[in-house]
Amino acid sequence: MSTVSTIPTTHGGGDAHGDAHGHGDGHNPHLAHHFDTPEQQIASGKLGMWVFLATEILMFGGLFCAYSVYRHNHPDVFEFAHQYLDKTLGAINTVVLITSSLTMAWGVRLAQLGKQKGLIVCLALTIIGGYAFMGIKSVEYKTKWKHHLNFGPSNIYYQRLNAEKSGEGAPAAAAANAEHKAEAANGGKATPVEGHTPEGVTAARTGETSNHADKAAGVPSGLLNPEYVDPNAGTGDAANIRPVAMPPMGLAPAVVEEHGKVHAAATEEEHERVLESEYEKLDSLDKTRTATFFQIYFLMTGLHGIHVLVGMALIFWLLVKAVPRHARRGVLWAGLLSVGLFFVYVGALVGNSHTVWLGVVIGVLAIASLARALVGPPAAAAAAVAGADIGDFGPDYFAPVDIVGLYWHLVDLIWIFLFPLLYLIH
Amino acid sequence: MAQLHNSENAHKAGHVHVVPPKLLLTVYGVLLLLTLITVKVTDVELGQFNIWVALLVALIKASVVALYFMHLRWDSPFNALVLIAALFFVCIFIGIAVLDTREYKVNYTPPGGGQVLTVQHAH
Repeated sequence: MSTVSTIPTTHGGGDAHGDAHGHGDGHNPHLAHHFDTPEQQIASGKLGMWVFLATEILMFGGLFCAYSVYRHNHPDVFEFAHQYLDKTLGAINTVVLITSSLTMAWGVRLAQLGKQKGLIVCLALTIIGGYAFMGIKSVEYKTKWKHHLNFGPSNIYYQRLNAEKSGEGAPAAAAANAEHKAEAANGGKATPVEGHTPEGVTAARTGETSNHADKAAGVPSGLLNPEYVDPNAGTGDAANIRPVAMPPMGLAPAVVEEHGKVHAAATEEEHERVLESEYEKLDSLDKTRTATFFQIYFLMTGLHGIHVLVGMALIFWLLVKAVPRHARRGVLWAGLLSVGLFFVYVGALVGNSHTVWLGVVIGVLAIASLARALVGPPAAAAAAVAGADIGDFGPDYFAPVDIVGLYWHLVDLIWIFLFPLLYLIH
Repeated sequence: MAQLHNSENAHKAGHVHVVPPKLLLTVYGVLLLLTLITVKVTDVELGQFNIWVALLVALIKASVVALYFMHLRWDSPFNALVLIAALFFVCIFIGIAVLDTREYKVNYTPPGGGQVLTVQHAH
């Protein structure tokens, strides 16, 4: 579409242009010279985009193929491992993407009608939808990381496999939760010891004090009574107070009422214990492939996430073109500010100060530039506004909105399949 | 170049289809409803048919998005052909790959071993 300004020079004069191509008085600056009509131009562009989308589908097809082969061979692995995915967040993200698809489709409509203000609102809402999707995705990825359900060989189930193969830490692994298992697999420090000591039980049952108590009492954390909950859990005294007697298994108080946090921790551990027993039920062949589920999960959602980011960048490009010319610089810097804020959010979420600071630097630069653009010398702004001070899109020129819209809908389309296949395994 | 395309140059292209708001909202509602269905149906015991129900719902959702949000319903049918061709080839790809997945298992010891057998070289 940048061919607009080259047309007159190519043909040696503006007037020759219209006649040479036989579209008479309908002089359309957006019509490239190798097209007969605007309709033909738009149809060609759309066909080109559809061919590109076909290659995208084929690329994702490779991952869907890997998914199908592994699920076909190891259905139990998928049934087990998908429980680590957060169904609720997945469903919310589905709704977010569908909503942003609606705002995009609405944006195309408004561009076709030449309603520029509405178009700006729709494009901005679509970008916000993209940020919301990526923000929720970050929460999910962070939870996976916290539980060592990583991509690659650091995955907990890959580590355990190695540990069990070499015969280390296997007995301890049966009793401990996932976090403890990581330690056992890495260091092999949790070895079985005769007799349950109260300190050991206390330490192992309360996540917060376990490290401290480990050091204080020198008791391995691998042994614990799965039914017992220390009434002092969560308090600073937990490691110092000895229970007078161990309640019999099954009769212990289930949860500590005072601290909701402890309660949540208890149910989380309960959940992990259920998962643990289900993992033990998998046959050994399936155990060797449990980590693979997470490889597939991260590859599929990761590639999709990259597409979301690319789509957001493209929609942002549309947004810059959609606003009146004098406001474009401001929109550019506002976009950069949003990138900085997202870095701060992700950095704070995963606890990485470098990312937070990078976001802060980007944000400060953006705000400074934004302020300069807003209160800058009006002469410069006036000079920039040479032509009509309006957005680019209208009934004569909406193809970019249409085509980027197709891309965004494809991103939605792929998620429509990913969500049930990964999160909703029965 | 003048950018005054919104005024006199705007020849309203009658054949460019503008999707009416009511239709957009209906499609949105249908998509939300199908999302709800696909989440709820996971809890229903259908044996091996759960996956097919999930895929069917996803296929309906994808068709609705492609037909209305992506304008395929009003576009040249050739664009739809491109999409269908891509899906067709993905299906061939996955179908044939899945056909021989059973063969992969001979590379492993039966349940209980759980280790990849190394290729035995004849000495």
